[in-house]
Amino acid sequence: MERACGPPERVGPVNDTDSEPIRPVRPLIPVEAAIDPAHAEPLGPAALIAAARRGDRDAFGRLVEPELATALGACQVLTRSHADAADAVQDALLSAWRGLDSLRDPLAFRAWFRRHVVRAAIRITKRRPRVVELAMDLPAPAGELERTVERRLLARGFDRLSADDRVLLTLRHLWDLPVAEAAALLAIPQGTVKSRTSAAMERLRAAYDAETRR
Amino acid sequence: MTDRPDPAPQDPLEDELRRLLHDRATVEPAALDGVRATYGRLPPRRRAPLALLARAAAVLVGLGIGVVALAQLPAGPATPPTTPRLQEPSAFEGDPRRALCDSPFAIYAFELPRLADFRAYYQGEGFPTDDVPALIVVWDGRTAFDRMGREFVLPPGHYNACIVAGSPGDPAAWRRIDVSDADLTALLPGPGLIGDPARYADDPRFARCAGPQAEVLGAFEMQHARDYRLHVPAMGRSPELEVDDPAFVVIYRGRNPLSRPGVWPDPLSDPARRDVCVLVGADVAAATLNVYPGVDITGLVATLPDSSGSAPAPSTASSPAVTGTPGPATPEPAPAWTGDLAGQLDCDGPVRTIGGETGDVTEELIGPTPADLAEYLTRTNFDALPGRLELAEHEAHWVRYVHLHDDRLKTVVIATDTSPRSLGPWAIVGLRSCDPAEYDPEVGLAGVYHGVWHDAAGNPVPTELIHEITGAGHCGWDSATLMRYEGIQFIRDPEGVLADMQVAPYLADTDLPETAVDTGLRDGERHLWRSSDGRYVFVVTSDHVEGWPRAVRDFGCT
Repeated sequence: MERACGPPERVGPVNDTDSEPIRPVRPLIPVEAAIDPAHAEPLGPAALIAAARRGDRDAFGRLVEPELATALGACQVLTRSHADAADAVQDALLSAWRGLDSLRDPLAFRAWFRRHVVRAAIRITKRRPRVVELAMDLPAPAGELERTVERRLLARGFDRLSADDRVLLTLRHLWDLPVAEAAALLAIPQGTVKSRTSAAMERLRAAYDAETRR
Repeated sequence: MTDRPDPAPQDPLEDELRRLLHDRATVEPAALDGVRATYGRLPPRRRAPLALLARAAAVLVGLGIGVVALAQLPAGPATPPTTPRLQEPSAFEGDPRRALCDSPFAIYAFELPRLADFRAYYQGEGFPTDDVPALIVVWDGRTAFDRMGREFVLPPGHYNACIVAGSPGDPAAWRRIDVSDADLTALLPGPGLIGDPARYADDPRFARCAGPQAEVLGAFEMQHARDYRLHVPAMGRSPELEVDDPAFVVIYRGRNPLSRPGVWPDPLSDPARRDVCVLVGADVAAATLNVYPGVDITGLVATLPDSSGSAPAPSTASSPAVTGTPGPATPEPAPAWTGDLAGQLDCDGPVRTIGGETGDVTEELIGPTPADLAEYLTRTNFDALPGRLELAEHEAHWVRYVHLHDDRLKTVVIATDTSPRSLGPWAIVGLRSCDPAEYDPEVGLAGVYHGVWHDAAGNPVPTELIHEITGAGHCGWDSATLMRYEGIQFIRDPEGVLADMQVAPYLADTDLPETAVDTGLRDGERHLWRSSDGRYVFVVTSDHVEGWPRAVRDFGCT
């Protein structure tokens, strides 16, 4: 059975005395930071938030770590730029760090942090104008994500949507958020989420059709 | 309790969209590591009052008070910020931090003992500062590369500052940010950046520029006067300097002694502008004296080849070292298709006033390859270009991009790498276009412009009548949308960033007044109505009405 947190697992060979496990070189998160040395048990979100509010960066890191890959992935979708996505997540981390006092319910941390992420991504996306597309016989970039022609056409159609449309479709179809959660995250009525999502999907369908006719 | 989405009928397009989004959301471990590094660099959550004072001082400096003023202010409990010494990027060769910021466009670099001091040069939020040292590498040119080799482009007037927090032995967080000309001007010129005027104290050329009577920022030589825009890239084109003769340059700190009082503007009113003397000719006595008031010296990157030696003799001194890659010295003749751009177009209405014929356009650097035109045009002042351009001609040093609708030419763009200004090296030198209403409606518009509106009959309406743009990000207006309808500005301002510019509040969700009048204009599902008193336009959809107030006056962001 996997353990999400606990004393360091042994990694790699052990030393001669077999008294201490050897840690991986430069772990992504310091092993010490993943463990509360006083209790050797994972801290709950309330305790982590309390520690983070006192200025404990490690505690904050442990809070956001489970959300980090999801946040960065969504920002990649929304900003259409890996560099901007990294900027957006860093902005979200900073604004969340500064705004910890406004978080009332520790159990709502994930939704609260995601709000920071989406807002940061929207802010960067709207700051960046839409990209001109050049028709050139250039080799496809390394790491091409679209595996089929249809996928590429759909991707182009998605890229032509407004930032607001992309946000809604990302929340619904990448994060799989229910309408109620998407509405709470965007601070708009649930009915508006439904109608705008439907309209965004129709615009995507139209853009996709336009691409296939091109 | 479930966390799953509401059940919905299966839709193949939705399924494909879901797969596409998950593909695009795939995260590279290196990118994740870069973001994780933010944890340890977050600022203290509780700030000391002195730190707040330092922050306020930094903002003042960012507003143009100047680095010198900052150094005189209390700067918090740590050591006060010091003016960094600008150096060639090569000075940090071997420094792992430099490698993280490697770019062919790196123009100079400097170290800060405390990363927090960077706020003196950057007003933006979002960078977790700390008491760690840092290396900052500034990239010129519109195009640069991040550490993963991806290209990105900056708007005109902006540079990239690549910041590496940490010591050379422990580079940690990495980030790039945009900095404006004005921010960089605060850094220019630093000690040793340009020629020490003392080196030329006895030089007759210095005397002809009235150097001994002036407060001089710096002086340097050019092997050829025509290189002037390689040294002062923002300087306007000056035909009298387009000659092979050697030249000597003096940049005054204050008003130049050769000016007539009251005629020229005070150079000190704009920290980016200085009076400049350029003496052209090998014979000092016969050399032509040119004095230029208020030259934009942003990007000045001339350095002395030997900062420790004595003053070089005029006849033997070498030219200042200049970063960047100068373009070809002798441009080749332009192909015939670079001429008469307006005549090439097939417009129903008038040719737009944007851009100009080849050679008439203020050259805009776009990057190392013609393909960089793509992203450049998204950020340029050449507004409302089509969202798709086709490469029509490509010779060794020239390219011609076009936009066609129904086989009729609507937009033509000429770029070349033979521009004398090109550090870049490709630059746009010509651009003419029909009104966006004549573009292929399938391609949309590039840049900050939103789509074309249509009349009640479905015909596209010229942007002269109505258009929308996203507010300028560098003025903090990117959450707003500005609509110009029949010559009047209206504002969509959900975050209130332009509240002072509106005759009435923005209405995010309102009812359409009975007295409102349908303009007949349509943009997809959006219909445009206007209030009877002219204070609002209403953007109406099937389930929503927004009221966009009129602006109190025309305004823009420079």
